[in-house]
Amino acid sequence: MRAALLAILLAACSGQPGSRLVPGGELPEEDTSGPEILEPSYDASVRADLRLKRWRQLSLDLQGALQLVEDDVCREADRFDCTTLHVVPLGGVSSDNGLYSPQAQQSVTTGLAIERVVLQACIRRLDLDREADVPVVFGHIDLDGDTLDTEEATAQATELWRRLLARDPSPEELGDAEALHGRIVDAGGDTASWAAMLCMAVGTSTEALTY
Amino acid sequence: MALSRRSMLLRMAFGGAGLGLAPWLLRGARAETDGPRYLVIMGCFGGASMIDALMPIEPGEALSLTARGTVIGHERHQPDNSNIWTVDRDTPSEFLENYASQSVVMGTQSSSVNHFTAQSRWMTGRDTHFGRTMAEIMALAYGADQPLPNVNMGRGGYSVGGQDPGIDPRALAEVVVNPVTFPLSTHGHLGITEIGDGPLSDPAVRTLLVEEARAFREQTLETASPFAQTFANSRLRKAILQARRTSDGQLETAELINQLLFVPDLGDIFPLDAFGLSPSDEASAILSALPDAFPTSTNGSPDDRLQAQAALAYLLIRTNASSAITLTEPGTDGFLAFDQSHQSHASAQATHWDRVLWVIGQLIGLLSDAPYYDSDGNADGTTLWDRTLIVFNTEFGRDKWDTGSSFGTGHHLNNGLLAVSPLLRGNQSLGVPDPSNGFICGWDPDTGEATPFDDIPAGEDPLYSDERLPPGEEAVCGTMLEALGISFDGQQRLPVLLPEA
Repeated sequence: MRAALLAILLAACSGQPGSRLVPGGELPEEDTSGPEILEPSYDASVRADLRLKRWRQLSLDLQGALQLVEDDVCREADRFDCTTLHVVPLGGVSSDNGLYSPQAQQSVTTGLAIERVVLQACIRRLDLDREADVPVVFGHIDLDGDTLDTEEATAQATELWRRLLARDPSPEELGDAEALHGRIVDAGGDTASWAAMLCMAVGTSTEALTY
Repeated sequence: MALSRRSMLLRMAFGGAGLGLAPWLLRGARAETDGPRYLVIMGCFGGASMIDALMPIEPGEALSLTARGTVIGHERHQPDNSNIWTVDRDTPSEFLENYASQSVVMGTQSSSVNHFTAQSRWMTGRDTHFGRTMAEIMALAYGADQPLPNVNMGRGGYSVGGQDPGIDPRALAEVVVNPVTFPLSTHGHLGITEIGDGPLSDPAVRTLLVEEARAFREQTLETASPFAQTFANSRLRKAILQARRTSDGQLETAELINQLLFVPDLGDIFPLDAFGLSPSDEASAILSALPDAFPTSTNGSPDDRLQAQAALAYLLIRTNASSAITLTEPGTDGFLAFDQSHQSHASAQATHWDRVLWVIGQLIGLLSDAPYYDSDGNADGTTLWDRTLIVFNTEFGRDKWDTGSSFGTGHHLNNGLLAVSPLLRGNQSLGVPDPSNGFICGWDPDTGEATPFDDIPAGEDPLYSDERLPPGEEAVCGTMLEALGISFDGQQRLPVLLPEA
């Protein structure tokens, strides 16, 4: 009995992808009947208590990840600081509105305001890297071309994942990221715009936006 | 009878009966199903005193006492065809000349003299319906197909949400800091770069690229990543993903980033053309009606913030983006507004009443010129104004006594408010200001007959428990919602305000 309990506890605490708490400590027999169901590889957290990064943390994280100074992160119409203009949907306060505490929930425009901030930061970094002798972020690809090989895609994607998510991409993510390039080019883009879009997608993922 | 999608949503949001919804929804509300209604709340921050505007006391009748001063009085008159009196000043007089037939002024009794508390209680009708604000109730009733059902340009208690934790998040207020630049928040990528040759600088190509990026994000990062699997049950994460599938697309499809831009290309101040943005085709009409709504400096702030709020309110209604919009008089100093009465009562009340009445008059003019089109795009000869109700949320009253010189006043529970709408039984003045104490008395909710304080000695105030005092937040807010076609269990009504059946 003790051994069985220990096995259960070890399985639950192992943190290994694919680990499952199974009564009796035994893996269930594989059911090969019916349609194939893709099992998730990681157990879902029971608490799953996430918080959305507010405007300052979002800006600071982008400054760090993309090595931008504060004023370069996002300016609407090249004039208005995004973290001021979009401050309420980004979880800030507004003394003009007598709003001295952030709103408890995201507002209707929160998602789009975040996309504007992240996309502008990614494009700004891209523009700076085009002019730089040694690109900071987008240095693994030909910024003037529209082709991409697997090695370049892997290097550039890994750079973005590490900078924005602090981890390496999974093989599936790498494959999908490379496949995205073809669709971007078909839509009229090039390799540089693929990189910017990849940056935007990763930077606006819930993994990047929450803590 | 076949149910439209809208009526289905309304029933789901309010009706509940037979749908297996929770008990608190079963006690919900019903709403009209023949198209939208619009509620505009004009927040008169700081206490807009009705005896200093549209329920004035004749100076010759005002009582004077050595110990208290003189009850505040004003030279007054009644414009032609108006049953409502006004102080003898141009702006309130012109307002009544234009809109008396659709205006109701009434005595009201606030339940707090704390600014934020009084404001929020008038927003919720003192929790008249599950603690929801009137704007939230409107958003739930008419906002199912609207991208921004509840827009709030208010301040303080006017911008505070209700107390219903289970409310659909879409009904919560979208707080607007600057009406000029707010439209930029309604699109994920339009206008983010200057127009140029590259794919990222071409709005049409960029739209396609962003669609691909979003699809990659949703299908790969939000589905297969370790994070997505680990936090699959996060409520926050689910809400974000749900918004991406619903409201984000609704906002972009409506192209509100252009439809709500009421300023033209302003060159260095706010360049639009260079960034691929196009102002509303109503920009010229708005410029004529509200000329100071535009910014003239590079900080992007409008010259007159209240005019800018009215301009955005007009376009939110014009585009049927919202069913509830809250404005607030920002004051000449950006904060105190009517509360400048502490320093100088008469000048503060005159300045701010003139400002709110003039701006709302301009907004009504714009709405009156805008035809209403149904969901199929057909005009029926009515205008957007025919579906709109504007309530001047006056917060609370001010002290009733003129103590001489440029006297100041404190806060007072007794006051009144102004509501304007073709949906109300207009041209009524309900309750009478008492020249011997400055209080506005109550009135019969069915007939409107005043209930004066006849037996109270001159110079004495009625007790707070006096049944002749005017109605409070619950009844007034309940009736405004009734006029807007919304009814719910426990709703208090003042029938004299409503059109006769």
